[in-house]
Amino acid sequence: MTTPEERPGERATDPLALLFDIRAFTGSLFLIFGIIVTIVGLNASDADIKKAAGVNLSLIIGLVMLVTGVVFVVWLLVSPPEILHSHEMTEEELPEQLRHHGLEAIPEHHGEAPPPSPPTTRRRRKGEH
Amino acid sequence: MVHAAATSNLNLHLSPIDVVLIVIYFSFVLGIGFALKRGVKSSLDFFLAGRSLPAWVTGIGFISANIGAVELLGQSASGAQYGAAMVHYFWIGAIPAMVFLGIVMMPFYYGSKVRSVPEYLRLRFDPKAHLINAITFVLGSILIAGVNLYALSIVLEALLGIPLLLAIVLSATFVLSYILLGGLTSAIYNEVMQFFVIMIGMVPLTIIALKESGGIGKLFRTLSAEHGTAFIHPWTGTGIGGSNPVGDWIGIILGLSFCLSFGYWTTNFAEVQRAMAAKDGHSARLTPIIGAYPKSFVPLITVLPGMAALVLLPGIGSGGGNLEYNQAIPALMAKYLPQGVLGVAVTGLLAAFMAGMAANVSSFNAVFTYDIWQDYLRPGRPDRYYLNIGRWATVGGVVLAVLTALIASSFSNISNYLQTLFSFFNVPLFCAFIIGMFWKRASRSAGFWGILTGTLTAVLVYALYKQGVLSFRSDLHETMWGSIAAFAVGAVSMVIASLVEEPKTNEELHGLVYGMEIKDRSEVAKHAWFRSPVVLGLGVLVLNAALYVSLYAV
Repeated sequence: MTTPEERPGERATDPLALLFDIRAFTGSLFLIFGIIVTIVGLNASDADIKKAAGVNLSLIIGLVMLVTGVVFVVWLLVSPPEILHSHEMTEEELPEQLRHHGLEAIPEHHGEAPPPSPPTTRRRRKGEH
Repeated sequence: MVHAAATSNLNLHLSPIDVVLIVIYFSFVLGIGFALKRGVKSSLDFFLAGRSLPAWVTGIGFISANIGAVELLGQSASGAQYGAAMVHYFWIGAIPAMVFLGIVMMPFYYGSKVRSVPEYLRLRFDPKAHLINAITFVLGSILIAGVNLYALSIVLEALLGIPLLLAIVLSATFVLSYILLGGLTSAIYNEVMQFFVIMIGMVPLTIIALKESGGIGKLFRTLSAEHGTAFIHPWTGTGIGGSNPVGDWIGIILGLSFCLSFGYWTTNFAEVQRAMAAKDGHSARLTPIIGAYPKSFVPLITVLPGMAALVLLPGIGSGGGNLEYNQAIPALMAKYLPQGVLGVAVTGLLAAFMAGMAANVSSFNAVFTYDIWQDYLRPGRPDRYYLNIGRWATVGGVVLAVLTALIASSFSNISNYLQTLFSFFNVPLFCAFIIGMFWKRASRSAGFWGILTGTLTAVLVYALYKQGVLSFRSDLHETMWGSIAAFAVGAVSMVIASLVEEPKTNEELHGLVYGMEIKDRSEVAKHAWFRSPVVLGLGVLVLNAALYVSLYAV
């Protein structure tokens, strides 16, 4: 099993965790989109407004996107990403026929002993052959 | 539908600002891939996002993976063609199926820790059932990825003037890079971003379309006068012998909802994979239910603008040099959206096409690697080996999708037939799952026989309809009754196969059948009522009933 400590960008104390959260991507995208489209809206010509059924759509949508972006960023700061896998069930807790016999384990990880997995073990149910 | 956009000269005339927005979005797409690259350390990280994502992320990914080419343009086209009855596909089709998946089926998928939908069949039944599902899924995914790619390229060519071949290679390269880098996490993150962008683009378009057509009341009165009340009231004319083009109420409830929608939403690995990526059992159950809430409103931004297009874009769908139904959304965008907003909307459209393809590729590589390569070809290698195979499978899958797209560009009928062919597998598959989960006695070969006979039945009904032996109101109507027949025949063969064979032991079935679910701590723990899958699931069903009623109140 992957331990939380081994996964960069997922610990609450890791500054990268904030950057790699989906809310950081979505929030910054909408802030950038919001700023650009709001500026377009502020400079909208009468023709632009007439095209969109008489409303300054760019201004409205620009502001909506700005607010959306702010909401994502605030949400990210208020509740930073948790340490994940808190409820993860280990392979050992599974009944025999459902175990993947170490195939999900990651021998490359430091500090984590690779579970014994004889190369001949096939992920087969008991008594299938 | 696929070549719709190419046949007329609908050009969006993007301003430089719009192009800048599109470029920014796609740099984000690639940026996500690079940022997530260091998180991919095992095959489980690559194929199932390390089972680490919160429920709201997987929930949005769940529906976003399905808002692709066919869905977005296709549903608005069907809205223009068939009218309000298309909402059945959501409110009595997809949503109840998603609720059922979350409440009833997810504990088996997530609790048993299977890594794909076919893997469940291998454990519950036997390798025959497993292989039939794994192989058809792998072939079907590549085909649909190719069709999505082709549809995307046609839109790029028609709306932005990019040559078809360049468009195909360009979009394929984008999808390939971000999946190769970040695996399923990358695909899901992009689906979440795409979801919000598409909403920002489509909601104002719908509001303006309704405003321009004089409000929803006036729109419905106009359409009802021209096309009859069945066009605006989804249940009108659904009696036996009625005139509703979508069919009769038995077909809608049993065929469309129970067989077709349940079959698609509960057994399609491209969807279920999103829930399997959730961080715990409770989040996995919430995934489709959280997705169901926004999904309930999707017809309002697809079917409704399609209907409004009938009034706003005179002559649409009437043939000749006029616009086709599939062009309803792009044409409305071109007509009403000012610069800036147009850029956002086009970004959403392109992102939706790309997400559709990415969902197919990211589920293809998991099934290919785990269910075919690891189970039958090269078992027992270290995990790193399968991670590499998964990366190569992604490259291979995208290359095959590009070839499929090129073939589709010259023989689009072939891809239509093949898509129909693969759709025949859906319902019998659902039959095997539901009986396998709830009837302990179902034996090891029952799954294979159920899938085989059910599929043959679906093919037979389709063939008889095409030969004129059986008659139905429309292709949709045939699909519904074909599904009912397929389910019934599949179920009967499963029962017969089980009765002549010895049952599986309790030990073999642990974690796989009803009454023997494996629950993790998150599912046993107490949750506030508003986090309960059952309460939220029932809530969305009530919401859908209310939406039906509100259509009649307009």
